[in-house]
Amino acid sequence: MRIVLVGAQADRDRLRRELLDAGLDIVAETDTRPSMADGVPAADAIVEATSNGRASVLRNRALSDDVATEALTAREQEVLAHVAQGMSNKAIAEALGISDQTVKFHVAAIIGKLGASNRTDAVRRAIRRGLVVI
Amino acid sequence: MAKTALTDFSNQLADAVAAAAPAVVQVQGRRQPASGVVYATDVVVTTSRAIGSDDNISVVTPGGQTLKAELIAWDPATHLVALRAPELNGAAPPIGASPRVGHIAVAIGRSWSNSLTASAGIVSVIGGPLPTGRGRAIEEIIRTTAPMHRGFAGGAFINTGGELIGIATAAEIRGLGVVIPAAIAWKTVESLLTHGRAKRRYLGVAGQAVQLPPAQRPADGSSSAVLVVQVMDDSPAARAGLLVGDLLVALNDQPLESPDRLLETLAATAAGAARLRVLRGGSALEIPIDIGEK
Repeated sequence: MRIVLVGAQADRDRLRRELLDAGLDIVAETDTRPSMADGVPAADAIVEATSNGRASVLRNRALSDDVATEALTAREQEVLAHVAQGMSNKAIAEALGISDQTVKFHVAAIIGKLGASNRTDAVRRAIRRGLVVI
Repeated sequence: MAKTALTDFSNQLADAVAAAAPAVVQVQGRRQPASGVVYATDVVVTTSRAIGSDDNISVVTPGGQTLKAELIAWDPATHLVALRAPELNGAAPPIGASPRVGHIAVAIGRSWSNSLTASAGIVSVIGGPLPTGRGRAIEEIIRTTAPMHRGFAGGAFINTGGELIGIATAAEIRGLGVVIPAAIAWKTVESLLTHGRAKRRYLGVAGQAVQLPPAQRPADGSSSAVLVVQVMDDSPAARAGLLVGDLLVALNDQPLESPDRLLETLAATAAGAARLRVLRGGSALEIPIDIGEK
């Protein structure tokens, strides 16, 4: 995974070895956080070295992709978009031309993959992960 | 001891609760039951706290009868839920006039054992369209001193005349219970019933919350923003020229710290012309956008 390491020189020095040992590829280092809008096209994540020797991930495209986007199938994403509009399983089944039972199966999979406790919680989590268009 | 004004008042309050009680039901959709209010013969309004994965929802009548119910739709912005219980045969409570701050009011819910449960307080705050914190999605919210445990979620909030003035949420803002005004709840449920889903304002972006570097923080001090990760073709966002990678900082001067906040702010914003403050390549831009409805 390619990362951009940001932080004060001394903090970066402390963390660099550990990140390289973990198999991460540091493509750039800066002492100030890069503008997200400038983009970090060559990197999967921005890792900030903090003064207590810890790392915090500022933006991790790879992480959200692994956990959510890639995990949800195209059909599940389609079902999720309908769930996020407040539709019932029955209404989603009608809209997509599939059975209630199939929708129920997809919704259960979405809830499971997002680590949610129910459909409304799944929508909340999906909105936070950028999986729902608002 | 002779009857006093206080005894009269106490009896009136108990009468008001008794009058509204038949319209307050228990909703079982998760491990812990919540409450609901009858909206129409076979329709109950409650909050999303009451529902699980939308199967196996039941409504328990004040008489103790357990009836099968199904989700009609719910509103992700206000968290209100409309349920249909075909055998309910209920009657909606009378709707009262908008309360004033200082009015005595009573929250009514159903306990775990379906007992009638009441909690009195006063109307403490009637929030404008954009109070800080939760409830921003709702054009106006009532906050009350009446303490409400989670089972009150979806229950009735009534005036001393037994008329419905709001739907209890069991959420709190700074120690005061949050109640959705009856007029807004009724309007939301009407829309859910008509469309089978929540109709809402729409930009056409997906985004994630990001921390803003100190040097880029706007004058209002916001420390986070919404990073645009997707712009839908042919959406208000696309027409306004938003790009993936833009940082959305504020909509009509309301700070957008997260996608949830964007959803809530949109819900409380009228469709039509609006201003988005965006950070792009390190510079702040004010982008006019025409908010759509979907």
